[in-house]
Amino acid sequence: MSTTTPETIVVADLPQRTTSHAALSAAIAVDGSILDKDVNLIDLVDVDSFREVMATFADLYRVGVKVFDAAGNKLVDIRVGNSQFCGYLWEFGGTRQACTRIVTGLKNDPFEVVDGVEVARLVDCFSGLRYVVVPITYEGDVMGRLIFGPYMPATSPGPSEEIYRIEGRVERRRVDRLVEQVRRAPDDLVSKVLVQMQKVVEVILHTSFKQILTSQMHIESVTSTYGELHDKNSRLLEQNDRLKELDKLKSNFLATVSHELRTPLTSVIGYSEMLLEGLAGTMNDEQRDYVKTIMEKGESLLGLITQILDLSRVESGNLRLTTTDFDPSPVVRGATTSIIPQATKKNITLEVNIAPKLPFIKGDKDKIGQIIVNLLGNAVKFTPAQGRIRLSADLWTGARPAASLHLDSSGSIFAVDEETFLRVVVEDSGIGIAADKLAAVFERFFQVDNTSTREFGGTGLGLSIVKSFVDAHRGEIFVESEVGKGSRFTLLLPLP
Amino acid sequence: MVQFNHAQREITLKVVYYGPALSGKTTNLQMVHQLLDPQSRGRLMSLDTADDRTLFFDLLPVFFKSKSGFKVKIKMYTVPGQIMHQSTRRIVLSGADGVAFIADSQRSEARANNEAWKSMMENLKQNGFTPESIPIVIQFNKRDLPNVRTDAELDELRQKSKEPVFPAIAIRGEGVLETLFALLRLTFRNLTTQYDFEGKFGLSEQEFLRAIFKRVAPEHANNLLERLAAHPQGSDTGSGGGAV
Repeated sequence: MSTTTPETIVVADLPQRTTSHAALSAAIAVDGSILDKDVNLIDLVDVDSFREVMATFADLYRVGVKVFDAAGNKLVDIRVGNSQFCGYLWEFGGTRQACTRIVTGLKNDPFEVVDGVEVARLVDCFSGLRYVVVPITYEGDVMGRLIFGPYMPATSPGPSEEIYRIEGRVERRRVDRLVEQVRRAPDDLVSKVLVQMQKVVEVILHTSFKQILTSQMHIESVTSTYGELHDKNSRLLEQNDRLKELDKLKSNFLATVSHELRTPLTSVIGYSEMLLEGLAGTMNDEQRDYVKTIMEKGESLLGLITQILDLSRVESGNLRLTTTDFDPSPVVRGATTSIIPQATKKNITLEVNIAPKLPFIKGDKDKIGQIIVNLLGNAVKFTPAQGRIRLSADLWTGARPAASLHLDSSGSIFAVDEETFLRVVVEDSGIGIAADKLAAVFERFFQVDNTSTREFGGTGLGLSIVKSFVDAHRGEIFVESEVGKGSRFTLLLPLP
Repeated sequence: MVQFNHAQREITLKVVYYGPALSGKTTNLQMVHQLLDPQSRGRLMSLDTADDRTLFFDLLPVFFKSKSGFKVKIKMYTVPGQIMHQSTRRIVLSGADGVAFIADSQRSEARANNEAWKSMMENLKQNGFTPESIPIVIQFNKRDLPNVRTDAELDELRQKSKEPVFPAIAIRGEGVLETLFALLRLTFRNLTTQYDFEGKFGLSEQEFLRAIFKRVAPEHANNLLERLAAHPQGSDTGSGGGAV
């Protein structure tokens, strides 16, 4: 017992046992829902704040307050007025023993149950002082106990004679002087105070329990939803993997089939050629015309099959670049030359403008040539007779088009590197592409005009192959167009 | 799942009020709170949003001490009705010992009732229940509104239904205690066949129901207790509906 003056309220040092919600939730995640758990007093109150509230009660009524939880942990211990009196009795063996018995009983003795409900009880100390022990109940559960006292009952004449019976060495005068410091209180006041304290505690517990439940339910709901999403995601990933596998199988199949188709087709073309050259005798004009048609159609079929083979190689990841350093000018010029016959047939003007002294670039010469042939071929296909196609090749320095879209809120571009590219632009005066179709032109099998009666042939593979080749070179390709006016394809190949 | 704490001589049961959004689950609990004796129930805790819709659940604890000295706690929960709170419903429903399904009698809500019933069955299944393993009672609430299913239709449903069906106007307290009474009785019977409450804990169905309903408002109490007295052996299946 402390020996401070009666005016001092002693707030005893107690172990810090505030339980964080995080710790609580971790425990719950392992053990199941908060709804199936019993909560403890110590989980429901913030011990420091609770102690402060109890201190104001003790201060107001000048009577000490102790609070224990159901497990016997001391949460609050505020002593008022009785310290010197009790301290004095503690000095002697007999009274100390008697005091220990009382205090142990206060802490541990079970409550009496009346009509199914635990009720408060009065405990009279051998000294003549009195305690009231009040159960702290919540939802019918005893969560702990509140010990109010000691005080001197107003009706009591003073310290009990029992003191001197137990311990002969106690001085009566000293006892009479020290007991003056202990609050004398009528029992009805005490019972009112306790009702008030019980109400306050109940509100604290209810409010706190509600908060704990709310926060825990948030966590549990989110955890449960997360689990669900996680399961769904895993299933989707699995399906996605399976689809990828199937896609690869299909590409392999395509590659094999196209390869197998080419072999007999090469013979068809070869033998037609031999027929035309007269190796099997002279043919009349009509026969020559027929064989010529067989050969032409065979060649265009071979072209299609080659495209499919290219695409399936790209898709199955078998696209191999034969990279060299080379001068791009002759490649561009060569591609242009190869398209001249088709352009001439439709009476299309072909303007070519290749900047002088272009630097060497690194890449697959054939593939890059094929890209340009493809772009020009498309231009010819979709440009009406008497139209115009312009090709230009030059150097260009700037940011990649995709990168320039990443603007921050102030509108400035951040972290965008500028690069130098070989730029090849193919512009036509053809039918153009509608704005909503522009993004899709590089997709496989996409045809702007997808109707069965469409005017222009083709497999819809050309541009998707172009795109794959461009990607393989870490380049960029994009298109601008206006319906009825023409399209403009820009190819950017990075310089080494 | 019913919890036994032998050391503290405690039995804890859980019943859940399930149903579509705005069918009156919270109203049921509010009325139970109002009608039961304050000594045998705790505060009604509502975890609700600003617009008074239930966010997580309402919780009303009911408790009493048996003559044999066991403390019996019944935790009554509602679930949030809105579709989006699926995971919360599953958590609250987990470990339930009995369910009251609160349906909306309005014709326009038939579909919502069906959806909620389906979702309840699904959630029960995910929680490891079969429809036979858990007692369910059905309440058709809002009998006072226009455009509701007629009494004849309800009678027909009652004939077909495996579960007892009760009409109610929860907002006026009508049918609320009858539903609860039937729910708790079925729950008790279901549990006692598994755990032998009378043999092991000295708790009979009579005492269980009396302890909870003993101090309800006289007009309700008389009805309920008469019914209890009339069928002390528990032969009444509780499907008497409005005739309670």
